[in-house]
Amino acid sequence: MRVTVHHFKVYDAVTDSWIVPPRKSPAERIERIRGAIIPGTAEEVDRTALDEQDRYDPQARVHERARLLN
Amino acid sequence: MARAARGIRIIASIAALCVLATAGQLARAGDVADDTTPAPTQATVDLAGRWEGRSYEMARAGVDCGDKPCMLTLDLARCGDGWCGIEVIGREQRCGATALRLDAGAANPGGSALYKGKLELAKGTEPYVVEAYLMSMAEGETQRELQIVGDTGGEFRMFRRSFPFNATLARISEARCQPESTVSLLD
Repeated sequence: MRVTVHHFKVYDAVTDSWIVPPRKSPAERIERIRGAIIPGTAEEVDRTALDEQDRYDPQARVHERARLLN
Repeated sequence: MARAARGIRIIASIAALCVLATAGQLARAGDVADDTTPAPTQATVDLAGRWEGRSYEMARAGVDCGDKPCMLTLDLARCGDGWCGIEVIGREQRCGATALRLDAGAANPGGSALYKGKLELAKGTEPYVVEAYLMSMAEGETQRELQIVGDTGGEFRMFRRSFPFNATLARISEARCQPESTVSLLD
């Protein structure tokens, strides 16, 4: 099953500022954590690529490819 | 009977909050001549965990809680030099936004502690300015409860008769939600 994930901005209580987390998430999670989608960052990925918190790490695919090449 | 005792305890703890806050203000103002009074020290209590308690304010705000009473569930985790409370949503217990932000807290000689911060229960709503009081559930008990009292209008007016937000949370398990942060990849 495919799912659309986006980069988003969200309030970071640690730094008391708005941040863009490195991992993308589906719109449902972004709404749940009161974030805002950054337009133009949508990407369709397999649901199995999300972690238990519904986060997708775009770098994971790069790392996996590098691991397979080595 | 138990209900009445609980009510008395809550009133007593709110009164204690007032006394603590007043003492802090007086000390800051330099009006306290007696410098032998022990100043509150930074709280070292580990608040980390899942805390839950009934919330009448959520019911009033129209949150759909099904047939059961509305419960406020927060996963408290270290957050900078204080504490963050991530809202735990629904029956599936999904991790929501960081709804609560508390400072490092001030410990009191009796083992209780007072924290100050903000609570935002819904996006776009005015956050409550809160004081959270950590105290034993009953005299001599080690289990503690976190009494959160919140005010609107940008400041905590400790001498008002009633507060727009009240909740008493008990620690029920380990926390599973972490605050969204730039450092979360390092977790």
